[in-house]
This record gives sequence, structure tokens and C-alpha cells, in this order.
Amino acid sequence: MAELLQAAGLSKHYGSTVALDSVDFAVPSGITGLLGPNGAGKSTAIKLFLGLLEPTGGQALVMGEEPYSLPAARSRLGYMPEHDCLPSAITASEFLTHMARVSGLPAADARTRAADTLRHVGLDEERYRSIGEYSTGMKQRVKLAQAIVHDPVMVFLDEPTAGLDPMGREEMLDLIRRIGTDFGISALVSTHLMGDVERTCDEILVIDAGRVTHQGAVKGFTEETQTMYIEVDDRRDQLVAALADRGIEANGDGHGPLLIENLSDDGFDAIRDALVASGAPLRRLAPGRAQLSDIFKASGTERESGMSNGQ
Amino acid sequence: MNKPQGEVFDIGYQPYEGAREGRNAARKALLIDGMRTALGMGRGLTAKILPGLLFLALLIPALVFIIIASVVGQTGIDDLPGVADYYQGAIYPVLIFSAIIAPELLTTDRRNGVLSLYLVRPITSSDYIIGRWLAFFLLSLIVVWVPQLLLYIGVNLGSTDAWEYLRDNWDDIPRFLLAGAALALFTTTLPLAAAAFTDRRAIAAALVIGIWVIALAVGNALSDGIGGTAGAWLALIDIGSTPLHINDMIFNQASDGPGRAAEEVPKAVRIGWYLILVAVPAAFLYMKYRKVSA
Amino acid sequence: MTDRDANGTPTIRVDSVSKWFGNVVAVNDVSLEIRPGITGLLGPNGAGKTTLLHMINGLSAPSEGEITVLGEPVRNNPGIYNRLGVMAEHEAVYGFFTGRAFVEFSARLYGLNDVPAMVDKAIKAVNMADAQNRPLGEYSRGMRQRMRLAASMVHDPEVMLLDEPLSGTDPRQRIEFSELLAELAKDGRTIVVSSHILEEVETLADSILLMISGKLAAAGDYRAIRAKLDERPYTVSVGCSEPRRMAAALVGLDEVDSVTVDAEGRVIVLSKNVSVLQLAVPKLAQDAGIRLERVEPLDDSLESVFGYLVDA
Repeated sequence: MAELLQAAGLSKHYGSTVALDSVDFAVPSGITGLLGPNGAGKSTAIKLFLGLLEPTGGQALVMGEEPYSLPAARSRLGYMPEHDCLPSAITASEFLTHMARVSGLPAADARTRAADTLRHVGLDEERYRSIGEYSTGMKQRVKLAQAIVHDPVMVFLDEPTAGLDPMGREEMLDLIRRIGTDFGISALVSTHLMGDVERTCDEILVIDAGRVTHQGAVKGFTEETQTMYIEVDDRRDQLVAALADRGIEANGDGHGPLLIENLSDDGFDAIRDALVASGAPLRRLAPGRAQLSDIFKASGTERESGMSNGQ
Repeated sequence: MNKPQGEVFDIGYQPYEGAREGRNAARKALLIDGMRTALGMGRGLTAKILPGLLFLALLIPALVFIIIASVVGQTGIDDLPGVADYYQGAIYPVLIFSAIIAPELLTTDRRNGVLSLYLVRPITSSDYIIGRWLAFFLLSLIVVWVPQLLLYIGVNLGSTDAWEYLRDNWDDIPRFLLAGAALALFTTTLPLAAAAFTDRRAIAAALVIGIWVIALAVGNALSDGIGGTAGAWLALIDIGSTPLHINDMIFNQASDGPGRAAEEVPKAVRIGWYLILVAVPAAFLYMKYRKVSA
Repeated sequence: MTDRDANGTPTIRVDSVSKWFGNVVAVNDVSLEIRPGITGLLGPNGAGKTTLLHMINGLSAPSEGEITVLGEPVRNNPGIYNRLGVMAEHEAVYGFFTGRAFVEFSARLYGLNDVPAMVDKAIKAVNMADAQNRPLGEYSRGMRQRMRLAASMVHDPEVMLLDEPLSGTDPRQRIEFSELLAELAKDGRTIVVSSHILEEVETLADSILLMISGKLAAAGDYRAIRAKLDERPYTVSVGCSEPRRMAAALVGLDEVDSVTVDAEGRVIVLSKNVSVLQLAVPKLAQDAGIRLERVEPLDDSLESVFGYLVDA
């Protein structure tokens, strides 16, 4: 896979605070989730790749070039900030056209691409109304639209679902997924929500205390375990007994799911038969799965460096 | 018999294979956008009121003079304010126009966060600030030149022999162009520099107008009160009259507006003072925006 | 999930409450009861959740109807705040205050006797002891949220109303926050949490309140709510050794609405009568000698329930 972003010995210091400590990593094409505690170097990393900050040491490369010193390197990048960044007095259509032009598109192309992009993000007639009149969900779409209107190779999305209600969040995550699969644009999604990552990302990158602590495919962090979980709506005790009769030990506390470790292939039939024998209504039968949040459950010392501009 | 034909067209996302024009196109887009913002274009009716009113405030005196000139004929013309005196009166609407509208170009983008979106595009923050400055400067040039042009033509037509008038007074044209540019330079740079201090347009406007008014009052009061050479130098405190000094030097005439006491001060000093009043805010503005990183 | 005493007195009672601002009816004739434990308050943006919370915490008066907390009215009753803790969604804090000073300030406002001890306890509970002496202005968003939570619970209130308390917090903080809330609830407190992150509310809350356009659309245990959505058949995914035979067997049941086999070989069954299905699947598998490997409900989550209710 082509490496779009590359950090080589990348460091950033703010006075005596070290935001990034000589990190090395590469972000491939596709959708990558960027995770990590607040103030631990995530936003600093994004700003370095966008050319908004200058590295103190090492390099931040976008397709081999340095965005800080070479403005042209930014022409294939897009940014959807977390903070408010939209004018309120003009229409989405006009705003997008203007942004497309500043990204280097000729006037006519800027206009048509602006219209197309707004359609692709789901804004239809609304695009002729002033942005000031938009709901949060619509504004997020405009923010996303201006990030992709110039057909970038990679977009940086910072907390794209912030402030959205569940339906809005669902739609935004679908949109992000489509950007990767249908539009062919890669993305680096910075988020605190595991649900966002699970629904959109192929890879994750975790930055904590200025260092990369985890990197890899999402699938690698959400593998199925060897434990089988059984949830029944009733007759739980009878099921436990029926399983024991067939030589299967089932554990579980109170009224929660039953856990069975190291089930052999023949064990499935035993479970099935135990269910029938006990008459327990089966709600769920599935292997356990590692969770992304497990990465953060491992105890670590508090790493808040408390930089207000590291947010 | 032919089978009916049908087609489905792909209106999904298309990658962009067209031209990508680079920095100059981006700068041009910024420039045009800056001029449009200042004029309130594409922003509804209310945004156009202020620029419209102020432009009228400048045009109307010129038009009035033209009408009067056509009525009084040659004899009266010399008594009317001409292009040399125009800025003495026009400077006030221009100052107000600039103080109120110029900050708009900077404060709004900072306040609503759009600046971050510019900075991640293939332009630099200095491109941005130069583009904004230039947009307002060009607009100001139009604002200060058009009335003068009308006045000149009008007075010209009013005279008995237009061609003779033109031959005798052709040098007025480059003079008022230069004087106008000097005025526009001054009224563009100071308000924009003030806008770098605050995110609220009203405060920037109040700051600039306040400084001008106070400087006017204090400068003239001190200079009148103390008098003599010291008084002349003190009149330089009235920074708002600096462009008028330049105007008077260009037209080689005596100053008779506010701050006229400073006429005694050597030309070089007055020119130097003007340059400082333009260069220092400009440098400040440039430095402030070079460091911005969204 | 805590067992709830359904016969006890509710901590919070909202009785036929409406609130309008001119023509805008933000809350429309809502009646509900909230008991000890964690209750999730959900709904689309603009559904009236924040307005409802403001009325419950006494900040605003209902246009109609009555609200009592712990048996007392909330309006004109400053004493109630000794037992009520509130954390709003957005709050400006003075950047120059240290975190500790902020919590102390709150403690003093509540007129606590042993301020240092209570403050220590609150700060420890939110795991901010290390950073407590730094100014709030230097905190990240998640740190501020935690200090604000400490300030809202320093007086050990019985009732806590939290509006998007996890907003801006990172994954580790979210886990810790949730654990903290669960601890507090276990001690018998009544905690209302308004949140948009359904997957978290699903594990955290014992029951939910769903508001749509100012009205209360659903209340209670989300699975029980799901069961009441008659018109929506349950969707269950079955993984087994012989999908097609399984599918054939399932489609023969009257209670099954439809059966499909997806690209991964899973049998997707839709049925309005989930209890019949729950017994039928193992039985049919056994009768046909099919190995049953996986059974997973696909629309059993809070998210699906939310989606169905909002769509309706």
C-alpha cells in the first residue's frame, strides 16, 4: 500500500513541553483512525501534516513532500476541523466555489465541483441558503464538503461526529465510509469514540504521551476470542445443568451471559442439544470479541500534559 | 423492429482530472473575494448599505460641484474647490469608510474560524494578508479616484474652452492620482492593523476612529496653544492630516486644513512621518499574520 | 444492571409538564418518573432534553405542570440544591482558577462543613489529584469536564443531572467516568445522563427516556421497549453448518416473516415473534442434524430501538 503520510523522527516541542517525541510512523491509503488522550500529541501530529506547524525536529511528509515549507504540497490535502470554521453570511454554494478556487481549480470547474460535492454530501436545495441558517448536521456536511471539493488524496477529519445526534452521527459515519470506498479518498479520522472507528476505519494509530503506542489493522484489535457467550431469556439454571450433563462448563455471574472457554468443535452440538433439553430461549450465541476500548483499559499513569494548544 | 434503447448515467463522485492552477490563481481568488466582501456583494442587502452610503457621500459633493460649475461658468470656477482641495473634505468619509469596512476583511475570517481553512490550502498566511490588504487598497483607490475624475471632467466641461483648460491643467491628473494613492495607502493600512488586535469589527473601527479623532483634537489644541516652531511640530500629532500634507505638497499649495500649522516642518520630515505611519502598521500586520497557524 | 425497586417512591416526578417559548413548544405534556440508578435521556437534537433538564434542576419553570425532586418542589426551594448536583453541557469557567480552587468554590457555595476533605474526595473520585493545582485554563477539555463533574458532586448529592458529561473526553477518561457513575449509582443515587453516544448509554444506563419533538416517546428498559414495537420484526443472524437447509427449515415456520442467506452464508431471519424463534432455532437445527454455531440479534441494540422510534 502506498504510504501517504510519513513521520520520520518527528518531534515537536513547545518550550519545555514535548508534544511529539521523535516519532516514526507511516499512514497508508485507506481510512485510518487516530486515537489517543487529549493533549498527548494527536492534534499536534495533524497540524504538522497539514503544514500548520513547523517540526522542531525530524520530518512530516505528505507524499514525500513537506507541507510546512511547500504550500503546493497542501493542494492534495483536505481538512475538516473540529472547531467552527464556516462563514455565516454567504451560501454554501458560494463558499464552496470560493474554497475550490483557492485550492487552485479554475473558475468554471470550481463552480461545478462545488455543486457536485454538495450533492454528494447530501445538501440539496439548502445549498442556496446562508450557512448561518444551517443546523449542526448541515454545517458538518459543509465542513466535510470543503475538505473534499478539490478531490484531495487525503483528508483529515477532526472529531467529525461532535455535536451530532445519533442519526446525524450515523449519516456522517456512512458518508466518511463512502469517501473511502466510493470516492477513493483516504482519510485520517481523529476521534475519541470507538464506535466511530469501528464503523469507518481500516487501520488505527494510537498516539499517547508523544509516542506511538499502537498501530495496525482494526481487525487485529477486534479479533474473536476463544470464549463462547450464551445469552438466554429464561431457564438459565436449567441450561447450566443441561450443559454440565454434556460435559460443558459454563460460568457467568448472576443474570449475565454464560461463558464457555475452549469449546471444541463437537461442543456446538452439545450446546444445541442442551438448549433444546432445557427449553431455554436463546437470545445470543457468539464468540467474545476483543474491543478497541481494551487498548485504553490497560492501566497507565495519567498523561495529561495540559497544553491548551495541544487540543 | 428495433428494441427500445435506454441508458443510465453515472452521476456519482468523479475524481478531478482538470487543471490545478497553483498559488497565483489562489491569490487572485482571494483578492476578488476581498473586494467583494468589502462591498458586501453576495452577502445580502444589509452588507451593501454601508459601502453604498459612504461611496455616495464621496460622489455627491463631486457631482454637486460639477453642477455648480456648469452653472457659474468660467469666472466662478476658480473659486470652487478643485481637485487640489477635494481631499481636504473627502478625507473624512474615506477615513470612516475605511475604519468601518476594512476590519471586516480580517476580523470575520478570524472570528468564524475560516482562516484555518485557508491556511491548509496551497497559500501561505502572508499570501492571505497581502491579498486582503491589496483588495482593500484597490477598492480605496477606486473610491478616491472616481470622484476626483468626475470633478476634473466636470470642471473641465464647465470652462469656456475645455481643451485649453486641459492643456493648462493636465498636470492635475497625475497629481490627484498620486495624492489619492497616498490617501488610500494611509487609510488602508491603519485600520487593517487595528483589526489585527481584536476579533470584533466594531472595536477595531472604534479604535481607529478614536485614534484619529483624539490625534486631531490633541494635535491641533497643542499646536494652537503653544504656537511657533514647537507648535508646528506638535501639529504632526494630528496623524489624520498627514495625507493632506502629502496632497498639498503634490499640488504645491498652502495647507489650510487642520494640522496646517505643521507646514513649517521641513518637507522631508513630513514625508518621513507619513512613511512611518504607513510602514509601521504594515510591518506589524505582516508579522502578526506570518505567525498565525490556525 | 441494577435491579430497581419498581414500587418505591420515584426520586424525580414530572407531571404533565409543558414548556413553551412563544410559539415554540419545547416540551409537550410530558409525564415521567425517575428512580435510583442511571437513567439515560436520549433524543434527536432539539427534542427538548436540555429544556427538560433545566426544569428538573429548577433553572426554569414549566409553563404548565409540576416537577418534584425527592418529594419537594424544585422551584423557590434553594435547599434542594444540597441534594442535587447539576452539570450543564456548556459552561464557561474562569481560566485563572486552579482546578482545586474551582471545586472548593463550589463546595463553599453548597455551605459544606469540611471543605478540604470533601474536595479531596471529589477530586480523587474523578482522578484529577495530580493536576488539581494547575489553572483551569491549562486543562484539556477532558480534564475540565472531570473537574466540573467534581464540582457538581462535591456535596455528595443524592441526585445528579448530567448533560453530555463525557463530551470531549478521551477513551480512557470515558471508561473511568462510566465506572465512576456506575459506582455512584450502586450506592443508591439517582443519576440522569443526557447523551448522544448510544453505545455507551446502552451499557451504562438501567433505563432510558427517549424524547422526540418535545414529547416522551418511550421509557424504560430498551429491550422491553423493543418488544413493544410490534410492527418491527426482529432480525436475527444464524450461523450454522448448512445454511440453506437451515433456511428451508426456518421458512416453514408460520411465525417467520422472511429468510435470506447473506454473502457470508449467514441465515438472516425476520420474525415478529421472537420468543418462538428463540426456541425454534436450536430445535430445528437439532432435528435436521445441523451444527448451530452462532445466533446474533441484529436489531437488539439501543441504537436500533432509537432508530425505529425516531423513524416512526
